[in-house]
Amino acid sequence: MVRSRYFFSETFISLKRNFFMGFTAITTVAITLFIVGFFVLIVYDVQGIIMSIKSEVELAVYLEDEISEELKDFIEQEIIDWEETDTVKYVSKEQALERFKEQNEGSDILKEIEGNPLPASFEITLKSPEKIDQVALRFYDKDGNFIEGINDVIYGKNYVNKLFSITAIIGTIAFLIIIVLLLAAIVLIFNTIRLSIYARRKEIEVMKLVGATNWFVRIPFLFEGFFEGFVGSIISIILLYFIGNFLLIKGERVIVDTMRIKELAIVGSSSVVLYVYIGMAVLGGLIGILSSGIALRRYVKI
Amino acid sequence: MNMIEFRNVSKIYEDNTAALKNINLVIKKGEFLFLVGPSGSGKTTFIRLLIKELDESNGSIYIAGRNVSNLKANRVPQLRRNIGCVFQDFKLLPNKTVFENVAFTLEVIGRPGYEIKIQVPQVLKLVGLYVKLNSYPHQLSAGEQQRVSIARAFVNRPPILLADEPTGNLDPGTSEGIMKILSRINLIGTTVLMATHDRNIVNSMRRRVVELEEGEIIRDQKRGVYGD
Repeated sequence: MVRSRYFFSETFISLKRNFFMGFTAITTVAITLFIVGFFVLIVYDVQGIIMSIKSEVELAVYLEDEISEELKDFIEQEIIDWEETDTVKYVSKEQALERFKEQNEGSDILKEIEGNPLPASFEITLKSPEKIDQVALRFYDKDGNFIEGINDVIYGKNYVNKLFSITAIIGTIAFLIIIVLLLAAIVLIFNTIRLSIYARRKEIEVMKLVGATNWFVRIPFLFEGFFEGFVGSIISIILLYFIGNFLLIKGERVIVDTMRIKELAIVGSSSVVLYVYIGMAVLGGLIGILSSGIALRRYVKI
Repeated sequence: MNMIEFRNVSKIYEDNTAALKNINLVIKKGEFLFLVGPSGSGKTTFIRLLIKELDESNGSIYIAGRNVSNLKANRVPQLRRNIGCVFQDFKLLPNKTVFENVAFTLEVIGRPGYEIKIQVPQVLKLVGLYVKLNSYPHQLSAGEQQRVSIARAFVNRPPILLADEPTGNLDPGTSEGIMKILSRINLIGTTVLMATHDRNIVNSMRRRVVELEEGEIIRDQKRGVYGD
């Protein structure tokens, strides 16, 4: 009882009296973790964008106008049975025209259209967009011509392949950068807390001189390290919540507008963001305690 | 009763310099002893061995009849609670008041708050600093700071008080005041061991004098003087 009161009051008294060092440590934690967190969110966001693009990768299979009803149904059933298939949507000639009119409302193009030149089609999305090449090939025969009833198969072949290789590269680079940033943050925080303990080695020396046990010396410093790390990370989370989100959402808008993606995982609305925040808080507290512990060992041999 | 006993104690530092060579010495309970000798003669090493800041290379040290040479690291704090220490540079904590500096000793050994409130003013009266309870060290004179450091060393009434050049930074008049306090503490029954090269103090006190030279005892004299 007596002891725990001592530890708490000692932690806060020392925070008050060593305000400058404490302030430095807290700011260091806040800024470095903010940078790490911001980067993690950017990466997460980019992954989200890529995922949305991927999920929009679809295969359009255009049918001959003269295709028989039986053949059409047969092909549709075939597509549904493929394990790669996620969804299949039949778009009739009429629906295609309808859609075309909607998309080009008010345009002169509509006036020049006579009858219905648009073909009917199947729009296929895949469970694993990487297999789009394989799936597309099934609409060709051995000689490289389309099979019966098929007029054309369209998907952004080069675009899709590039997208996949870029995704892989971005993922690796991002992972490496996050690791480096994290290490830099840990070293920076560690050094700051180490300095604040170094500045107080005299106090520790006196404590040991009058017969303090090692744990008695350690505990207030560990509390303090934890407190600094934790408060710093809370500040970085608040910064991230307001500044980070603001910047990311702005950035997202630009991407959405230029790439014309329909749906997008918006930062701030996802539970992943919450995990990032929790991770930052835990990390902050942990680095604080560990830095104090290591610094104590180094400077006061306890 | 033997309070402190050195049996064939040597201390050889890592660079092979011998700070103490084969020291044999018995200090009885309630004695006041001056450890004299030029700088580098081994006085400070002697004190650091007693509080286990250093380990002896050979021999054994007994405190209150107990061999502390093979004391486990986690028993060292317990030993230090029984030995008060006063240094030339006071070692006060600049960000704590006089009261807090003295109370620190009691907090560290886990004494309850009400006891601290009684004991600290008492010991500050003993050293004549009761009125400066709430001052910070930098607001005090050197002599006053040394008295705070004595109060801190003595507040939990240890049976042994070690003083390493306690008057080294003080003028003769102030030193006299410090010696009076140490005498008073000794009169209560505390064993006091003081390392010094303050000739005047040793000569005026007429207590037991042990002289070290190059790590060896060259003189042990009851009611002695500083020497030539």
